[in-house]
Amino acid sequence: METNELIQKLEDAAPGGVLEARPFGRDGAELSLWVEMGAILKIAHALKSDPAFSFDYVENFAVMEMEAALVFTYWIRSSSTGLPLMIRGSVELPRGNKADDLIEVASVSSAWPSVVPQEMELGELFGIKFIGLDPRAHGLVSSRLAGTAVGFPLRKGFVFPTEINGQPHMRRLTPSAPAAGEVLP
Amino acid sequence: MNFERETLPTTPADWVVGPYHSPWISHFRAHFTLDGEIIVRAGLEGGFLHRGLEKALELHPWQSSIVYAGRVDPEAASFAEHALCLAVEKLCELEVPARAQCIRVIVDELTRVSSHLKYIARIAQATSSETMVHFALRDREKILDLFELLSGARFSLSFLRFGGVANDVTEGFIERVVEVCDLIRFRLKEYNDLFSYNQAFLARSAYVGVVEPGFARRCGLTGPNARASAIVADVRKTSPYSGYEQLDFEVPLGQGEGGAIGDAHDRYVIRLREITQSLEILRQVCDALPAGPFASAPVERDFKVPTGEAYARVESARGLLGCYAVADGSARPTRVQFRVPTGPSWQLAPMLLEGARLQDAPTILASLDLCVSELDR
Amino acid sequence: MSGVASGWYQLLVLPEGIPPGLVVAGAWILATVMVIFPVAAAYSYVERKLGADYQARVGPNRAGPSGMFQPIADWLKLLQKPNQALSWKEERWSALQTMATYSTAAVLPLGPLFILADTEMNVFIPFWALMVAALATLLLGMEQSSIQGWLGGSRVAAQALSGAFPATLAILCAGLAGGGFRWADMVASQGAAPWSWNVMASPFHPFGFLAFVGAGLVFSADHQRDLGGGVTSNLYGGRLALAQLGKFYVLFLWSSMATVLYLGGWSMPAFITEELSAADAWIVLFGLQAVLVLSKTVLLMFLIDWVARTNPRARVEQITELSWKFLSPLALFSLMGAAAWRALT
Repeated sequence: METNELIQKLEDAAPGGVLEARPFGRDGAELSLWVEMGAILKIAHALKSDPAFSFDYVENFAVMEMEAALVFTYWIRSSSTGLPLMIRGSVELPRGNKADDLIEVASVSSAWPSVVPQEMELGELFGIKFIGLDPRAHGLVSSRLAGTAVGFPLRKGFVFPTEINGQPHMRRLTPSAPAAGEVLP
Repeated sequence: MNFERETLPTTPADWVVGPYHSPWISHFRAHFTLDGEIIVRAGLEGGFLHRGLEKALELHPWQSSIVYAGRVDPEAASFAEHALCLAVEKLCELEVPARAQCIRVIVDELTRVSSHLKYIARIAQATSSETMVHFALRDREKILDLFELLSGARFSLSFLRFGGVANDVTEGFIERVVEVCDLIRFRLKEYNDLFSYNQAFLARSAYVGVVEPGFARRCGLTGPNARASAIVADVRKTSPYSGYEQLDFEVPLGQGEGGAIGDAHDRYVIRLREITQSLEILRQVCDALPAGPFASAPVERDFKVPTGEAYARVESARGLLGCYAVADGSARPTRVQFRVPTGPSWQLAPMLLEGARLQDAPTILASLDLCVSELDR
Repeated sequence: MSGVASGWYQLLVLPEGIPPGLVVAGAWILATVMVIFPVAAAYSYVERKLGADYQARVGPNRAGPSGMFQPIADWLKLLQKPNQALSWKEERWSALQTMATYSTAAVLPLGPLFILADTEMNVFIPFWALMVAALATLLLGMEQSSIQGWLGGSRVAAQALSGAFPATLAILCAGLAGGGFRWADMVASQGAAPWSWNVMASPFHPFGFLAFVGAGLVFSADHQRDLGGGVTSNLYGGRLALAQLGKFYVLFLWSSMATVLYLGGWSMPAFITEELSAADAWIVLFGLQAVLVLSKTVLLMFLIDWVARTNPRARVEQITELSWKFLSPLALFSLMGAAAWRALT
C-alpha cells in the first residue's frame, strides 16, 4: 500500500480532509494520518469501500485531551490484507467545563459498526455527542441515571464533586502529592 | 355466583435480570422480551463495575500504574500489566532483559490457562454440570498457588515492572510449574472423557450461539471467540512480543466438531486446545530459561516517562488487549486507554440471544467469555 | 375394615370404637413422619457426601463426626425461618400440590406394614396423584405472576405430560408379569433372587424397566437453573423446604415403585419368611421387608443421582422429545414384546 496513493484517494473522497501523514510513536513503526474531524465520515467510507485497502474494522478507538483539544485516534485494520492504519484528528475544546458543553463529532459507526461500544463509552466520559449514533444506546451510565451525571470525568478540567447524596466524597480533592521538583499544571 | 373469565396472557413479556440475584448474569443487567421460551429481544446493560480506572491512572504516578492496570481484569491481571509495560517501554526505550521476558511469558501463559479453566467452570455451570465445575476450579487452584509462590498474590499479581519484573522467580518455582503443567495435561484427558464430547453437553452447546465469520470480523472480534469462527488472528503470531517469535506453538482454529463452526461447543473446544498449546509454551520456556537480571533497572519513585505516545498489543486470554499510553514528561500519565477484547463480544451477545431459547441464554453468555470487569474498567 | 388397618389395631391394641378411617389417617401421618422424613434426612446426608466424592471435594464435615448431624442442623435452621404468607390464590394451588404429592404415602410400597390400602388401582394411584401435583404446580406458577413461576410451572407440566405415556406403558408391561396390580400380587409374582425379578421375566422387560426409570427422570428433572428455581424461586423458608422435600419425595416414590414393579419389591428368601411366620414374629418380618425395599429404593436413587450429578442437564424440550420420541416407542415395544412372550410361553 502506497502512502501517497492512499492520501490521494482520500483527498479525492474528502477534499481538504487529509492534513498530513506522520509515523506514530518513537519507533515510527505504524503510519498515522491526521485528518479533519469534519471529514471523518467521508474518509471512513472511502477507506472501507476502496477494494485496494478495504479497512473494514476498527481495532481501537481512543480519545485523549491534550493542550485544550480532544485528539481522536482510530486504529483501523483490513481483514483481507491485515494491514493496520491509524487515523487521527483533533477538535478544539472550549474553555470551561460546563455539563452541557458537548463536543459534536460524526460517528463512524455507519462505516465501522465495531466502534459503537467505544463511542458510547467515550461519549459519556468525555462529553462527546457522536452524530449518527443511536441516542438511546448507553455506555456506562444506565438509562435510569441519564441526566444525573455531573460533568465529564475524563476531561482534564473535571472537578470531583465534594458531596454525593449528602455524603462527603473524594476527601483528597487534589491528585496524589507530586514528586519533588514537579510543577503542577 | 359470578365467575370472571380470565384470559391467559400470551403477549411477549418483559423480564429484567441482574445485576445481582442471578447466577448466570453477573455484574450486568439483561433486558429480555420473552415470547414463551423464545427471547424475542435482548439488551445488555453494563457499567455496574465502572471503577474509573483510566481516570485513576491519570491521578497517580507512573509507578502505581501497574497496580491499576492489574485491576482491569483482576482474574487475568498480567495481560493488562504486560500491555502497559510494553507501551511504557516503547516510550522510554527500555530494554527488557531476556530472563525478564521469559518470566513474563511464563506468567502470561499461566494466566491464560487459569482464565481458560475458569471459562470451563463457567460454561459447565451454565449447562448444570456441577462435577465439571469443581474439577476445573480445583485445577485452577494449583495455578493460583503458583502465583502465590511467585508474587504473594493469587489474583492481581502486580508482578510486572517497567523494564522487567518485580523479582526473580522463587526457588523451586520452575520445577513446580513443570509439575503443574504435567498435571493439567493429564486432567485435560479427564475433561474430555467427562464433559467435552458428552452427548448432553453437545446437545446443549452444538449449533448454539453460532457466530458467523463475516459478522465476527465486522465487530472486530478477536481471540478464541474469533478463532472458533475460523478467523486467523493471534497477536503472538502477527506482531510478536516478549520473545514469542522464538517459541514454537500452534494457533488452533474452530472446525465445527460438534456442529457448526463458531458455535458454543467450538468456542469451548478451542480453549481446551489453547490450554494444550500454553502448556507446550510453558514447557519450552521452563526448559530454556536464560540467566540474567530480572529487570533493567529498579523503577524509582520519581520515574518519569519522556513525552510521547505508544500503543502496545498483547494476546490476552480473551483476545487482543491494547494499551495506548500518552506521556507528557511528568510523573503522571496523561492518558492510558485499554482496548479490551470483551467489547466486540458484548456487541455480539444481544444479536446471538435474539431468537434463542431462554434455556440457551446462559450457555451463550458463558461461551462468549464476557468479562464485565474489563468492559467497564 | 381392611386387613392393614386391622393389623394396626392388633398391633397398637386400640379399643374397638375408633373409626377405621381415623386409624388409617393416623397411620398415614406416622408413615410420613417416621419413614419419609428420616429417610429424606439420611439420604440428603449420604447424597451430599457421595456428590462431594464425585466432585473431588469433602462434603459436609462440620456438624458432628464426618458431618453426620448435617440434616439435623439443616432442620434446625429451617425451623427458625419465618413463615411465608402466600395470597389465597397461590395458597389453594400450593395446598393442592402438597396434598396430591403426599397423599401417595398411603400407597407407598414399603411393605405390608405401611401400605394402608391395597387395591387393584394401587399402581396407578401415585402416578395419577403426581399428574395432579404437576397441574397444581402449573397453576401455582401462573398465579405467581412472575416469569420464573410461569415458565417454571409450564415446564413442569410439559415434563409430566411427556413422562406419563411411557410410564403407563411400562407399568402395564410389569403388570403382565405380575399378574395383577395390587402391590401384594406384584411382589408375590417375584422371588428374592435377581433372576426371578420382573425385570428378568422376559427379554422385553428390561426395556420396560429402562422406560420406567427414564420416565421418572423426565418427570422429576430439575430444569430451572436459568429461571432461578422456577416455581420455587418465589418461595422461602418452610415452604421452600417442603418443596425441596417434595422433589426428594417424588424421586423416592418413583424409585420405590420401580423397585416393586421390576426389582423384586420386598420378597425375601422363602426360608426367612417361613421361619418368621411360623414363629409369629410379624413385626420382625414386616420390618425386614420394609428395610429390604428401602435399601433397593435408595440404591436406585443413588444410581440416578450419580448419573445426574456427573452429567450436564439437557434442555426441557430435549427431555420431552426424549420421552415422546424414544421412551414411548421403547415402552410400547417392551409391552408388545412381553405380551407376545407371555402368550407364546
